Amino acid sequence: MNPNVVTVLLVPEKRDPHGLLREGPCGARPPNVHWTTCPVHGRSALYFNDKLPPAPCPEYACGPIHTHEALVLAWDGQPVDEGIDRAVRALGFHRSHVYKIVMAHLELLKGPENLLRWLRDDSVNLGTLLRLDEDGKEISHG
Amino acid sequence: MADPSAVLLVPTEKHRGALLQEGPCGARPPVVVWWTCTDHPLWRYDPSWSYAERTPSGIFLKRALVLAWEDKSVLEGLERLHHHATEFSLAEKCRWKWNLKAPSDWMVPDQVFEVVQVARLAEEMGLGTVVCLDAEGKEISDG
Repeated sequence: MNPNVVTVLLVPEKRDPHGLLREGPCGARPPNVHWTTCPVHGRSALYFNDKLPPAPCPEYACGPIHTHEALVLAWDGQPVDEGIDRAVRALGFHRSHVYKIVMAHLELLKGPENLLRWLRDDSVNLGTLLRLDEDGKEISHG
Repeated sequence: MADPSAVLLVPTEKHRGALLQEGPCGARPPVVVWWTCTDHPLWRYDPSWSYAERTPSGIFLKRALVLAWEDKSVLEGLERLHHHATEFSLAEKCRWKWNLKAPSDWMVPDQVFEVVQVARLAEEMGLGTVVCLDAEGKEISDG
């Protein structure tokens, strides 16, 4: 386990076919962030409200930044129940639904690495998993 | 009792925060508020009020977690309830009786009558009061 991983995000595929970021009835909303990265310096910034995300580099001289909206699976080093539930539900709604949720929680408690592996090994590709350190920088997949 | 269209859990004061509060990064459970500003008070979702604890004049708002709505179970509400009930049962050494079977047999309730059963278990644990609504939003009594 990489001890520096504090944030785990899941960037859905184009047009969010699995509804990872879709709002539910009566105001239900999954935890989500806008995540921007500077292609030159690798700096990134996170925003989790409806405002436009900020440029990660103050000088604005790095060309177009990359912006994603992502589901939050872990934040501040802690698993985020609502995000994990949403991701696991997208894997398929059947009898083992709750079991999968619990397993995902256990795997994340062991370490984000285990959750990443568990999600990757599943037959459904939900999107791209990102791991960020405490400065918001992406940690490359080991 | 007639078949409900919606199932709500009105939390007790002790459990209100855990069941209704926003989570990290903008996560929100499904919440409706008891709306009394018309001639026919009813439970409804209102983006201005559903996540407020009280009105500007200081009056506490009566709010509820949504477990079923418009004849369908609401997974986000059931998941919020399940997480809190599990934690509470471990802390208080009481039993959260939902999903006691082997993991492979666990099921999330799909039908509204199943949701009512889950809500009743939460009520037995003292987490809140169950409110069932008909298709017009009127409360259905047990009688």
